Amino acid sequence: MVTKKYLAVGLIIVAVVAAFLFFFVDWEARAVKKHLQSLAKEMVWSPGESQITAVTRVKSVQDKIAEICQVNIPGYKISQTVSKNDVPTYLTMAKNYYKDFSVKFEDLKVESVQLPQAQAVTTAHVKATGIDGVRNDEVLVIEFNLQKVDQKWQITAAREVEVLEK
Amino acid sequence: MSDNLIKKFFFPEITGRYVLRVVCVAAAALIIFKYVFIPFRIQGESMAPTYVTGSFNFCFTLRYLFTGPKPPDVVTIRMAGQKIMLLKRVVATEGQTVEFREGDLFVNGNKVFEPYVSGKSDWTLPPVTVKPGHVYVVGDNRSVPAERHAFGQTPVHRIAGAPLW
Repeated sequence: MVTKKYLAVGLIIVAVVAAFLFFFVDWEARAVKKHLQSLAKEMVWSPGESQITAVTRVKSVQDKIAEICQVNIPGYKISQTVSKNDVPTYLTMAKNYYKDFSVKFEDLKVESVQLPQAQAVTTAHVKATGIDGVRNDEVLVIEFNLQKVDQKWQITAAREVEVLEK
Repeated sequence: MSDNLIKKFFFPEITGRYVLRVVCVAAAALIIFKYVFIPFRIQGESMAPTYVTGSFNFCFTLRYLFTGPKPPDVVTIRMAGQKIMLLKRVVATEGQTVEFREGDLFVNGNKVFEPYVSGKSDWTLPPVTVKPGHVYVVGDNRSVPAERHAFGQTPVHRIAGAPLW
């Protein structure tokens, strides 16, 4: 009798948790966050990195962006449309400019999800060392536009939000 | 007797009242240090020598609850959130004109005395009028070229608070 009572209470708790997860957790927003965090994890390189790792990372970055992606980051003097096929070229150019590079997305917030589109904003903390050995760390606010294609989120635009207007 | 007191202090009896007290203290600490006094560590030299890299401070978020920021307040500026913020000094408010001539700051055409700025800078920048609802902020360390220094006007709503000291 007592066991049945505990079982019933356990089932009710599980049902409440499941209902909470189903109704109150925005799974699409979580997927968008995960997608952008994984992009940040791939935008990393250092001098000792193997060729295979580098190629894998480039491929992974390519998979995360749409066929055409509008990039507008004045902080790095970038304002252009980037096609998926051009990603390796641009990353190679960046590697020729910075010997080590990493980016971390802090305060990542999904501002809106209206399927198949989503918008997110984050503070990108870039740590980089130039080929000449000079540290060039930057902190930028970046707004991403994403689109869901074939059940996968892809970045269609990345735009720097101006915090201080000169 | 005193041994007993010490023992009681470090190893108290876990009662409902004790747990409630711990929960209340933890909740108060969470609210205070997440929303009122946000701890932060300074990284970068843009506010040197007033604030140097590696030093620790708190962002007091209620500082501008009743008044707006005004020169020469030091403020923290929110980026996408509050994990990373900029620390800058307000030099002008809305409607004022800001100009740099050979390192000297001019607001509305009048030279501003800035004892907090150390070292001579060579910044020369054309006059800019601060937009409504904005303030003009700049770091104290102007020994770096203007192109490499983050400064300019920012909306007042981006100001999260002010450093506690």
